Amino acid sequence: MNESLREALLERHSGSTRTLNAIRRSALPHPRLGLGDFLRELYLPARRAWTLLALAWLLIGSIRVLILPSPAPIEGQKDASALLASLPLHQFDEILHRTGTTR
Amino acid sequence: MPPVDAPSLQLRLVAAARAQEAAAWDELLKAQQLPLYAYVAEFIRDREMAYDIVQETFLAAVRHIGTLREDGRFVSWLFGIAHQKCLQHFRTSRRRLRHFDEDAQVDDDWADEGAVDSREQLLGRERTEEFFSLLDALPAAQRSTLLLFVLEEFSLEEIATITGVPLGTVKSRLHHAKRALRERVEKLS
Repeated sequence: MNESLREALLERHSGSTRTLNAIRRSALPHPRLGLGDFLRELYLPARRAWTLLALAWLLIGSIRVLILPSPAPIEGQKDASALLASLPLHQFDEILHRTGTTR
Repeated sequence: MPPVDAPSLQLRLVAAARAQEAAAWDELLKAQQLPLYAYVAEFIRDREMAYDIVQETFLAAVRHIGTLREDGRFVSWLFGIAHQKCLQHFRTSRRRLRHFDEDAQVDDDWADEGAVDSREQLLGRERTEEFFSLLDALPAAQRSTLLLFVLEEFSLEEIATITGVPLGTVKSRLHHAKRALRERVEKLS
């Protein structure tokens, strides 16, 4: 018999190499990640998805700015401070007295 | 540049592995994965479970490399972890280790360590199929000892360390295993 027992034993299990390779890789130590590495790891594997998502948000924001009118003051409604300022002095003091505040 | 011999390369890799360098671990484990798997699979006689045990062994080795005292003993240390995992498997699966207490029947005819047949002598006398057949029939303790002797050429002292039994026990187990092998061949012929 030319083949050694060791070789025969290893040959008997040679079909397991692929699985063992995967097991070995899964057991290797992982380098510690910093915040930059973490963000890179987060972004790079799915950068297209992240880019599309960012573009979609930009589009939504732009449409909102363009389409929706900015809130206009209701006609006839005055600013509260202007209203107070226009009151006669005695009425103004009375309101202050009622609300418990001082001038 | 002088050629790098295997032991010094291994020492360098182990030193790098202590620093958790993935490439060094990859090299070290790649070199041992098949012999280790063969040992575990033949010892517990369950190929699927052997994958789990090899994975657990690798993970434990990476995590506990600090417990390795001598870098030059990395391989026997790794096999020692696997051996303990195998014993755990036997305990948890409640499979009985046949004749694990056989060491009480140590023959008096066991000579000193020098009388251990060389691997080459064994190889010259046996055939592969007969070896496998015998391996399956051997009690687990003897099977484990014979596998370590054949697969990695561990010394008897190393086998004693790996299996956690006294040197005399290793000698007797190996002696019984080889005698059984011899008897089987004589019967066949």
